[in-house]
Amino acid sequence: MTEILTATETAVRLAMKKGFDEAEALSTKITRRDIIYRNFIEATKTNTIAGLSVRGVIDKRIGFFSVSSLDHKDIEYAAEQALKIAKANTEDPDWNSFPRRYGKASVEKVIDKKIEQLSAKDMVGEVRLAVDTVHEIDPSLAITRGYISTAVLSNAISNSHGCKLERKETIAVSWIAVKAGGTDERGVSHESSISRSWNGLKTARRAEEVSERAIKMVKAAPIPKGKMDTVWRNDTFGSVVDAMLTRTITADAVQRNRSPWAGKIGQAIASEQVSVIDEGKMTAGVGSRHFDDEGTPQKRTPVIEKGILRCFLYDNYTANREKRPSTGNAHRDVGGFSTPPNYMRPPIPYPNNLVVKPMSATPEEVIKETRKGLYIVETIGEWLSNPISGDLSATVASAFLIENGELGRAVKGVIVSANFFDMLKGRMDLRANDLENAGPVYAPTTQVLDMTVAGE
Amino acid sequence: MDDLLKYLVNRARYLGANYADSRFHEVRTTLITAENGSLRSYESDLSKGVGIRVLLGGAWGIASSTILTKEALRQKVSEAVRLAKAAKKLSTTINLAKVKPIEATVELPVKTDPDVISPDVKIKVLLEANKAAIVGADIKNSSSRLGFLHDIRFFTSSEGTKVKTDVTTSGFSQVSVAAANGAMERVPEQRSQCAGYEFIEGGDWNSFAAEVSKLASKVVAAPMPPAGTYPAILDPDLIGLFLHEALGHASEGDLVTTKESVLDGRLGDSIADESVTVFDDGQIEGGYLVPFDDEGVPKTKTTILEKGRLKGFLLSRDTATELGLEPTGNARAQSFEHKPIVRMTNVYMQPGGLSFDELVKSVDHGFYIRGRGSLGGQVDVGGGTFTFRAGPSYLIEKGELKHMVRAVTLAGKVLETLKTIEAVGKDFTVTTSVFGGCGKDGQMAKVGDGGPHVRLGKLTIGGRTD
Repeated sequence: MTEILTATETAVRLAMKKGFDEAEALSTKITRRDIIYRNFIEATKTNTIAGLSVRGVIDKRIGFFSVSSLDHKDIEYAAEQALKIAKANTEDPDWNSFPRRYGKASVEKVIDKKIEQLSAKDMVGEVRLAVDTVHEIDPSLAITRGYISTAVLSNAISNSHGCKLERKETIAVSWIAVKAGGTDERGVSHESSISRSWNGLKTARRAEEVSERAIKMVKAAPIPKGKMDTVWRNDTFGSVVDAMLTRTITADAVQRNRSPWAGKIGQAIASEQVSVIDEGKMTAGVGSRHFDDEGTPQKRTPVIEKGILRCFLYDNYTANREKRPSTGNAHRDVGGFSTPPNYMRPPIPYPNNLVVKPMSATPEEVIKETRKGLYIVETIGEWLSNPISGDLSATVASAFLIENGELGRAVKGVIVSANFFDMLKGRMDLRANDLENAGPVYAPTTQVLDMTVAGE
Repeated sequence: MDDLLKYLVNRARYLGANYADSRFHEVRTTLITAENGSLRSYESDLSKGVGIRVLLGGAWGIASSTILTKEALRQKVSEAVRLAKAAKKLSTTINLAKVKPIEATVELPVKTDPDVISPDVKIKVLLEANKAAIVGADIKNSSSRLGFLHDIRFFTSSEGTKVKTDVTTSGFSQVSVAAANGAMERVPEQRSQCAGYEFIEGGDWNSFAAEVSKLASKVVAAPMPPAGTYPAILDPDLIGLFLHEALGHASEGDLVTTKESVLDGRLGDSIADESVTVFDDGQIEGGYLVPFDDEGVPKTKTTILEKGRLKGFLLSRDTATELGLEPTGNARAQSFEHKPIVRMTNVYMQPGGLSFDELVKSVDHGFYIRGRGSLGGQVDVGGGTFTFRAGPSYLIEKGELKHMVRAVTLAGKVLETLKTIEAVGKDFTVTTSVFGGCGKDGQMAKVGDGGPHVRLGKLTIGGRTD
């Protein structure tokens, strides 16, 4: 048995001994490697994190405490603190129990041996590839910031119903910013990648794309205000869907009256062309895992099917409240930017891999079809939009005018907005075949008709 | 702990490092959430770790761990040295600006350590406020949180610097969701202070939470503003966020040395009106306390803009060398595992002489943009574009405040927008948050910001098209 699984079993045993009616422990071990660079390497990093949390229930009162350690005395401290909190807590009449059965789904390509065995030399080599690719395009381009980060994530979970499981995944993330031009006329672009595998980072391709766009952005300027058709690059549209859907299609948001979708199961909330599926077992998906953060196997859950709202996403607690099975969407890693290790949080339901169904056109065909509009590549602040009122707005950091179906001059500094609920009903029915992800959302390049542009 | 850190930096020097430092970081966090009248979760955590940073051959090697035995950390020193050596061929020469070694400890005086207050007392306060926010049938969701952060940092360098900081932060937050005529709107708001539990005891959280709900009830029926460019008055809550996004990030030394920042090459230039003076200060009342940075350098009060002129940048030791300036104590790391990078502490504008009424009277057709209920902001430093989302705001017509508007998104270009600051009010507030922070390069940092009411001549506001 591994160290992390033994630690959870110790934690459950100690918690029960101290007086809990039910207990669960989740432990995490993360080995991270990072390299931070500009035109040269600035720092190379390695990091080991091990931690564990105890969640226990006494008389329907829940306690939770986590420690960054797997040592016996720290585990005991966590169990004691969790008990102290549980005893002070109010009774939760909706509490049923921890899962009485765990299970493992069949999921492929979530571990990359290359990442597990990665050497400092490999990482330095990848940076060299990025730097060389950028400078082959134009030696005057500057990489202003870049990093590559990999992690091997191991988790173990067990509970007092005799359930126990372990899983392991790898992840690689990269980000690069390239600047063209001088002090006054300047163009800057960014590219990021997230993948289960080292090769999935596509370092050379990203470096090429970011360089070519930075050069074009030197001449970028705002455009006048008005209404405009738009085409969103796949991953950027993914960020929009992330901001507008991931926090409101969960059973948690619905049960607690902060979802605009409450009471709408079975209703048409989008055009027939729109399907959004949570693909929990997607091959190599960045949110694919054999089981969720409560030991429930991950699965495929249609959320919107041909425009009809079909199902919300559940963890064990929200499923028990409705006396139905969990959809395997318990997550302890929600929070966006710089999320702490998953052992530090209790679970809530959240998408695994939320896929906006692609269509058959190529991205070029979608642009061509649009004739006149704005092709949006990079935005900032789309995450500030309001998923409850549907008010979507994003500030364009990098875009191109579409004229006669062709990409024209570069645009930045305008705000685009629309109501997302209206968009779903027939204004985003032309999508490409090129799925790419931003966070937990996979989306294709998508045409969005009739957006408001606030510009000059 | 001091002895262990000293041992690790000595070990690194022995293995060939030109410079080494070591940080121990202990964090206790508690986050209690109540929703719709009942307790939702009570999360508490204790994290400890050590990070070792070595400079060798012109690049940093960094290793860290939560496993704190001497043997495990000794291994980490070797790894850090090995990593720095591996980068040799593709590294440049990082040079640290000289600083005088210091030994110092700063502990924020706290009347009541939040950890000694029993969980049931905190739960009672939270539940009462959470229920007080349910002010009417239109309030569909009331979510309230109490947050506590106890952050202890030890720093030891091979140059002999040894500092320790110990800062406690406490806060309350409320998010209310209101519904009317088929529309829903949420309003978030929080108050925090670098203080112990006395901050919670001294506040009227029931009224605070109820006010947030009343605002949500009102704003759900408010119209969106018409999209366009308008004069605007920003309140003290929002001017801080505006300066943080529109000026603060661009003044960060690492973004200046790489020439990513639009402020590169403009030191000494006049980039804003004479009425504008902006500081970054680690010790301003109301802000987040940063007496030293994570390189052991004292955080001084840095003048970024003086009467509209770009006076200084925020610097770490290596960016100071590159720019030929003095370090300002702005190298901050989220935790023991992160590399210290240039971060703001508390950025704020110095107040001027105008009253709020005088500012409003001077606007013919524009908006009074409020921070209460704001969701935050973001900047594309390289492209020079920033954006932020304001809270419920007001239309101004012929010098008078008119009706409320919702969903106000603002955007602008850093240099152009700074030039449109026209008038500065005389009131002044700086605030921080235990719940949120500022994100950069995958790290979060606790920051504060603020200033007076300020009038801008031209700001792009997103909204509807008539």
